[in-house]
Amino acid sequence: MKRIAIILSLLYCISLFAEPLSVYIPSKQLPSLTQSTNFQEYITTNQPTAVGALIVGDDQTAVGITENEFSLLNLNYDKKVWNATSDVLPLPVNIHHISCIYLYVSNECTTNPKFQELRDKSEFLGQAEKNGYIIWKYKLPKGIKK
Amino acid sequence: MRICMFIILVSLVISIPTYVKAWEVTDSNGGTMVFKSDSFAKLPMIEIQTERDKKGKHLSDKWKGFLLNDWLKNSGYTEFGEIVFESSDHYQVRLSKEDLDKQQAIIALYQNDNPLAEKDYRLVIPGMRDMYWIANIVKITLQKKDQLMVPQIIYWAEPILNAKKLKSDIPPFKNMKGYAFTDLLDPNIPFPDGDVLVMGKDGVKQLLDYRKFLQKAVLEKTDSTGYWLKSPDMPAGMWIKNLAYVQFAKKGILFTRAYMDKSLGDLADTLGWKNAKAYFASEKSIVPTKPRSWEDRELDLSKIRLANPLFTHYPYAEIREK
Repeated sequence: MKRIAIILSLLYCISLFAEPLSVYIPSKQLPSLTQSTNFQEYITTNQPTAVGALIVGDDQTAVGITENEFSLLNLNYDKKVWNATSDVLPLPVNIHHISCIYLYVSNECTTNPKFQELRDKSEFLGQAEKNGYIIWKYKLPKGIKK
Repeated sequence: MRICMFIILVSLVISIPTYVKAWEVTDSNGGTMVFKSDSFAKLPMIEIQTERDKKGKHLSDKWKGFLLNDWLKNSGYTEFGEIVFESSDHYQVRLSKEDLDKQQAIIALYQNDNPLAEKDYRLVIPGMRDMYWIANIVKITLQKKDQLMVPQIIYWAEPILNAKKLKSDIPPFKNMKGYAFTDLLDPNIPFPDGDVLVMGKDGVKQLLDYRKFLQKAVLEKTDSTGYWLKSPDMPAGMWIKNLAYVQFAKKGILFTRAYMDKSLGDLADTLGWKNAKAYFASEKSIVPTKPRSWEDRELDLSKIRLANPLFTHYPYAEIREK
């Protein structure tokens, strides 16, 4: 009985930890997100040269944002899924259940061929604008390689 | 037997519908109307005379047709900012309502007293170059004003391209040297999709869908005319010689060679950044004769002194000096 109680307690404790959210510069994984945060804070700490991000939902739709919008996007872990939320940015940016994030990096020595390949293989669904901010919406191809 | 065949033949000919060309007009709210071009002959017509030079020849033409503005007004199309004409081979001409109001644009049905075939009905604008005089129109799209926003940042094109490898014969183009249009994207433009503004040194501008027209485009490097924007997906008449400016959403790319003797005020003027013009026009030319280093590759409008409500969300700052 005691053992069962210990096992159940352990399982409960494990369930309290957030499932980490993976962030990639395609072909390279950055430190995963483990707690809710403002996206700009994550970028400043981990990849300050990022100028674009493709936030991918588990339904394979994705939203592209540029560096101007990073600080206006919050990434929240709630009920075991990661969500993107913003009151200022266009509505499609509010993605429920993010599966991963790809970053586009501006750096003299870095090119972004894998990011470009992913973007170009995706179906462009359209742009949305709100409060002067623009976002891009895509449908990603099936079976993408990270 | 012969009589039967004759009857069948005649009935077949009669059953073929008469081919009438039509224009599809989409208004700024997305509503669509189709206008059959055989109805145009009934409209009131005027005559205009044009003079132009083409391939070393002087051409003097008399055109007869109906006034485009009157036709638009009578069809109920008064609320639009820009009008885009598209021909059956995807040639596009874009005009602002302001430009159109200034000109006596007609749809010509006759050239030098000779009737034109319906497919050759032609937009003729005496005050504008004949590259705007589109024929074989199949589609007209009316768009709202302020489609294009003032960019937040402008990059220099040359350092971006110089960091890439100069290529030869980018398919399907031969005997050329230059870059793929996509070379302009990295490292600053993560999302080029949507409408992209491209403008030549002579002020000719187009708003083109990136995937439809520009994804396979090239920038041919020439000694005489700077970069020549060519695309296998665009009719050759739409290719832009001496490319001066490209804008993706809020990011612009300026070709310094094409804009060497001009200022941001000129750019604001040409592109109709009305609120920005007053400020930029007072600035001295801030285009360097030659980009000095990679660090100079961008001209950040947020680093420009602010005198404009458009930019009030940026901090006050001077133009960056290196």
